[in-house]
Amino acid sequence: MGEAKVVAEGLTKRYGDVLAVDDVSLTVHAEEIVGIVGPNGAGKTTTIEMMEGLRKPDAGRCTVCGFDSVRQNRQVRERIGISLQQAGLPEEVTVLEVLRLYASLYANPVPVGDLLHQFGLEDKARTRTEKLSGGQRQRLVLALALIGRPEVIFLDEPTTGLDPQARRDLWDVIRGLKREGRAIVISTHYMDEVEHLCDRVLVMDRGRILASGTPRELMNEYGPESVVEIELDQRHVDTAALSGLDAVTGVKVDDERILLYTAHTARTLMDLAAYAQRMNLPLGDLRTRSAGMDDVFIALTGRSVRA
Amino acid sequence: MSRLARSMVELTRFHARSLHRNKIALFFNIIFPLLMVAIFGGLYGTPAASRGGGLVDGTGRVLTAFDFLMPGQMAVMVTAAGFVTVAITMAGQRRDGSLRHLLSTPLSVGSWTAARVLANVLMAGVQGVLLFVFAALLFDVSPPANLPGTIVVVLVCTLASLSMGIFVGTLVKGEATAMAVVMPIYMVLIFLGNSAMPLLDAPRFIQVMLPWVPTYHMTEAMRAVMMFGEGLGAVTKELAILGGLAAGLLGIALALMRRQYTIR
Repeated sequence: MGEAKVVAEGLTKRYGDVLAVDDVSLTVHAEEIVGIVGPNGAGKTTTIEMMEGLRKPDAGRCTVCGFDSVRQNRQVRERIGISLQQAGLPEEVTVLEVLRLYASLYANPVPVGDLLHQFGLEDKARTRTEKLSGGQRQRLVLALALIGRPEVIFLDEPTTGLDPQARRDLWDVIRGLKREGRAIVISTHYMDEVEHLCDRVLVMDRGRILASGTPRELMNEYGPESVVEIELDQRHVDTAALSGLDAVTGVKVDDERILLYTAHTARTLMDLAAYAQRMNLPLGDLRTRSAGMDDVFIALTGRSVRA
Repeated sequence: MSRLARSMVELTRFHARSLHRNKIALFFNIIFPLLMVAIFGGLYGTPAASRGGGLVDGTGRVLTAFDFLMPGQMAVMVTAAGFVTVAITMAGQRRDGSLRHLLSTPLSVGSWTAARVLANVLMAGVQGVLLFVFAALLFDVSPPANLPGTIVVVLVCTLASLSMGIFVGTLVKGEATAMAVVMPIYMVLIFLGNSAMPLLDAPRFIQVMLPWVPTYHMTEAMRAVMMFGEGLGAVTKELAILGGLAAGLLGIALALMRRQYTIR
């Protein structure tokens, strides 16, 4: 693991009566991607903004590359690249023009041509930003975040609103940034993103860190061994009966699907089949799968990440 | 080129693009005032032909239609670019987050504002040249009688209108909201600015309002210096009012922007 680039200790932020972030501590090293996950309002963005030096914590402190985010804000801004949650790009300017503008703000910027090539935007160089697709916009935002050769990159929900292919393309880019030795903090509410991208994860809800570790550690510690998903008419759901099925460790009703968390898939399936036959229940769209970060989140908070 | 110089050049170009790439802005900043010159100039003919229309200012000086039209439309131009376009552009950039994104880099609020001033001053130069070339070609209007003085007056007028634009831009978010705020004010500034029609014989309740209208002072100062070749000493009062407005509003706007975009 590389040297510590971001060290946050006891970050706390309150808006009126609402405690938005409550005593969050975090260290991010070079060549590491740390994910902050949680539903809307969990405190992810406020946490990231305090680390970036865009928001002053009420308590706690954060250093980035050894500089205090508040007192040495200017030095911090020279060393970080930011992709804000609301990926704002100026309009009525071309991709090339906005890259040149941002390049002029740093002492030793990456050549604009190199960034256009790296992010596959060469053929869009003379296109106005408002005419870019969602994926192209996000790639441009990432290019802007990198233009000052930052040691630390903060990406606040960078793939929100992108189609699956564009998301995966962006993941490849982010992995490449990690290989270049950068420390990356990414907030997201996509659990698959966390599983595929992050070396470590913080699960946040209501301003607090509920758990942290590698995705595998969290799944081992908080996730069930596997999940049986069935489509069942809500009127026929008897959660108490389903909880009593063989090896079931928990039941979750999620929209029209029932999630049975189980320690032994085969035994649960056999018992479920017998129960359905006894009760004359149609089992629609039955699936089994290993537990994922979604299940970790549900186990930790009792609700879905998008709730 | 140093980093500061590079960033000022790029930022100024960036701001300048907002003044001419947007078709609505281009219309209000250049085309509309030139149309006004074409229409009203067409009604009155050349300056010589329009003399003797009965227009006399407070000092007894006989005025031609172009003594109103040229300063009036110059004031319309700098107000459209500095007040209307800047307020709407800035409000849009605040809504879509691009201003916040830009100011999350090492760029300071002061540098952003300095480049904005530079872009609008350059734009005012282009507007002034276009206005006089257009009027000279169509109606044989002479160049500014006191060119250095005119440059100073236009500079102060640009700063005053820009300060109003940045001030509104720091208070509202979104182009639609900004439009709703600035367009009624812009209309008042045009009609009470002595720029659309002479207000020498306007009813008393209008005359009472005129000293409170920045564009009125702009056209008064520009008429004296630009059209009659008077020195800056003759328009000290107007320059002081416009300069004071610019300093006051820019000061408040900068303080607001620092609150909005630096660590809080």
